[in-house]
Amino acid sequence: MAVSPPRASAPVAYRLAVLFRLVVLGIFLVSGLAKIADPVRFLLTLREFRLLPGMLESFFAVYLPWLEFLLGLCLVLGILHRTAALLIAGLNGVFIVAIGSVMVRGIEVDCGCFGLLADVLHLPDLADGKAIIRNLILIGMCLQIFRSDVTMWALEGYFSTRCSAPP
Amino acid sequence: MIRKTILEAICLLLLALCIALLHHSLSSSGITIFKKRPAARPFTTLMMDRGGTGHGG
Repeated sequence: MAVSPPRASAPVAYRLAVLFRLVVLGIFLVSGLAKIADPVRFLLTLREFRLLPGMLESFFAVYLPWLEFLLGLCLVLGILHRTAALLIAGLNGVFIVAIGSVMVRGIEVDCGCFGLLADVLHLPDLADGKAIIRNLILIGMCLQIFRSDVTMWALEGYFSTRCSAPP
Repeated sequence: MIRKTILEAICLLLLALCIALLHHSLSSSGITIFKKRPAARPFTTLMMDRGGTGHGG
């Protein structure tokens, strides 16, 4: 992937994308780890949503936390970070649909966004309009990361710079 | 460009699936990452299990 240094015309957008990358990776690494540490709690939350059959609930209770953690790790290391940002945006889209369906059916549940951290740090964890807005903001951040191709502190950018540098 | 992004996305999804399955199989075997494993049993109780007195010899 070609390195795209911050363009003089849009340095603000580039710096914003760097900031967004830090925010999104922090959220996804931490929430992924919190869910990995307590998969049973996440499974119970998934059951409360009443969206999936039993086997799929168990599958996603194991799979989703690791997917979140891996995508956060990609953003930290800067490996496939644009694709990771796009996947995170898609994941947040799925979360919005799930929360929306719960709201339409009038079921009051925890969104399970932060796993056991919600209790420890008293984070907002209710599946309501605020959670949807939070996810929409995250989608916006991810799309900005994807558009800007942030190569600052990214292994991908480092390697492509070294490979393209003259000997 | 689109094809490359789709391929990378599929790779990431599959990698996460592999890690999740590995974690699941490890925890099913009793090997946990986050929770503390139960403390090792004292040597004396192990000896008693084998019919000894627990005092050695």
